[in-house]
Amino acid sequence: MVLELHVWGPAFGLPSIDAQCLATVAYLKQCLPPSDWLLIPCSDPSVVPTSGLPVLKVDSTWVHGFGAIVNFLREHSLGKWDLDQDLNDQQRADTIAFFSFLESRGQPLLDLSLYVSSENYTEWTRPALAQILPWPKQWILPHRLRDGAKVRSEHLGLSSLDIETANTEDGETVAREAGNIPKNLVAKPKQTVAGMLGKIGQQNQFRLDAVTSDFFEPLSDLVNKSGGQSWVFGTDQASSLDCLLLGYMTLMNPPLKPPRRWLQDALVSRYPVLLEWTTNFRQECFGGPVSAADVFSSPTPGMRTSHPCLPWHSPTPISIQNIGSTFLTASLDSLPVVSRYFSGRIRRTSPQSTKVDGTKSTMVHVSPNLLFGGLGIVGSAVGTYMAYYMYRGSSKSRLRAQHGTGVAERNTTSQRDFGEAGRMLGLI
Amino acid sequence: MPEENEELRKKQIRAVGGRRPVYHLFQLPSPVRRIFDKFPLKTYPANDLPRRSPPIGHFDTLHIFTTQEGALQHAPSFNPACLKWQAYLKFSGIEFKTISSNNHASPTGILPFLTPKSFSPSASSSQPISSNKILKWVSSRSDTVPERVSGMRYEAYRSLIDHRIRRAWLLTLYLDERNSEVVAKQLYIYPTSSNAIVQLSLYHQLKQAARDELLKTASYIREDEVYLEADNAFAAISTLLGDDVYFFGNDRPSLFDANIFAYTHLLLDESLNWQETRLADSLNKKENLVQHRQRILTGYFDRHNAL
Repeated sequence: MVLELHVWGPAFGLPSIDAQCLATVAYLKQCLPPSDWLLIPCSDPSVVPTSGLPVLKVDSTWVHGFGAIVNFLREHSLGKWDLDQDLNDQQRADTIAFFSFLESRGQPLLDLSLYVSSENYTEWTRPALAQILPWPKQWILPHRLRDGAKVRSEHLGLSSLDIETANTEDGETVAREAGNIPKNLVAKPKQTVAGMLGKIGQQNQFRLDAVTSDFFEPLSDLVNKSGGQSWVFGTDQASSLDCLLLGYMTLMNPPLKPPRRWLQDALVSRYPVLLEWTTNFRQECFGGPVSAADVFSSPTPGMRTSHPCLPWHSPTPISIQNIGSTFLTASLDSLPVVSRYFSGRIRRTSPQSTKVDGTKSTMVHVSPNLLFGGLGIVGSAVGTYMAYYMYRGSSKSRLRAQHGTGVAERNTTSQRDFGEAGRMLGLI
Repeated sequence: MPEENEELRKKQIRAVGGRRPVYHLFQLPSPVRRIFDKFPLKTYPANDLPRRSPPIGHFDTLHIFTTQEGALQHAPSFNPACLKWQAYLKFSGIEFKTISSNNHASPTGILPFLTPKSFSPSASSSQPISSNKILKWVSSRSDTVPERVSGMRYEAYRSLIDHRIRRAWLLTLYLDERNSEVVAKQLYIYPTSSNAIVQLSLYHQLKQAARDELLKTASYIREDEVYLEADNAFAAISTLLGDDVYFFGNDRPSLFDANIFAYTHLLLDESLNWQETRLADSLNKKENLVQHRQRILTGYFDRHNAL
């Protein structure tokens, strides 16, 4: 039996554009012989039933998420495929704590660097996503990912890295200051774009420094403890924590660098040991740089030889039905009231948990009702619009019938003529 | 006379932004403007606060989510964020009062906040302190500041509480139907309004806010996964505590103790009438965390009951 690991496609010279996916690739690489698993760059995340990546497929079971995959492999192989078996209680507790630390602190930082920062997003992340996503998705999904990233990183107070929000938020600050709010409680004014881009940005640099060192400091201590040359617990083989750490750290410092390198600069200037650790083990786990073109274009056997490090396998092509549903969901999302209802519902759909060998794994069935419901709403919206047009047309023709063409024309203008005031307010 | 004319001209220039007087359509005619310039005719001093409002400035006062009786008895708050700072202030030995409040009262929109005792006679000079500045305020005020712990372990385990346990808390309190109907409504909805429509809309807002928070990091809310992660988190924190009295081997509780106590106390508090007790059950298995909660409760909260 061969395990299939579906991940986001390669970017920036790394096997995947997502930290959790990278971590899972590293884990499987350390844990399993290459003949036992296939690495499938997913060209479209919606084809997997969990609608989230990374996903491990074993027969008909889909397991989603790094932590769940690690648990599943342990229980599925009855303890054979477990990198954490030699750890003691304290180390296991540390693993759990650092999992949470990496996910809750690392992801917002990546969000800032990859998505929120305007320059990095337009020149670096979006082109990379365009290479790994199929045709209609590449126009829709990046924006959605960016919106998610903005929400996740909001609390860091650096949303002004995004040029568009920086402009609109100025007015808000002035309004707040005019109120009777005590001075020391007024939120600090958002930084200006010029400042953020490094022209006058000492203060912003402080903020960025604080945010990055909050994240890197504990990790640097962790790596330093084992001297920076071995895995974090000083063991011979990697643990699951090593893999997750590597996933986040390699994506923060990939082989191909972004245009705005504040994250990389912080790493280079202040945490050299952490940087060295990342570079060493990146080579060991992921091999040389991979590009999206290599993985998607070449046929399967050729790929195995050109990238011997990882068992790449080409993805299945996308169906017409899938393209259709992409368009549908995208148009639903842009409708004002409907989108909220639908987005809530899609997400709320409770996935059924099936027990496989004592592991909770997630199976999701997307109901066709949703598709038809959406189709109905779009259809009725178009219908209403057309009906309105026909009504307007018929009322005009009625007028025409009553007064003759010339009179009707004059009548319609006189009805809508608000005189001076109308001209002033732009009503006509 | 010429002086007056000069002034008028200046005014006109000012009105159109220093340029040649151009008359726009929406510009107020100058006679009308001159009348409006006279307003307000008299400015009255600010009204006094109502008599029933708490005296500000005589005590350090922490505004938290609590009941009226709870505020008098110094009972622990039922909101984890408030309870964390309440416990921390108790650890630091500062005498303070608590007041039942809500988010609308807070200058930042978030509870808790603190109004410090003012040393000068004018009460208005004391500015409220928001929750993220309390730590700094305490260290400027108290000589017996609880030990400030730092280091990689502290950060990592703190993220367990703020992330994993908080997610499970949001899920179990707001999104679990049985709990939200009984506990959340009792704590947050009924005291706010007696109007059924307002209650219903508030209830939905609360649930939606909790859902949005959980969906920030995942595209689905997987109940089993959230509870499993919280269970793991409690196990890890329990391992960290080990046989120590307080976390990180301190002999006095620190901010981390306050942080974990805020959740363990509320989950184990039977007076809240929990219906779904999955989270409490997994916590109950960690003997040392239960004892830790009991230790803080008796050591720092019970003695004030007599007051």
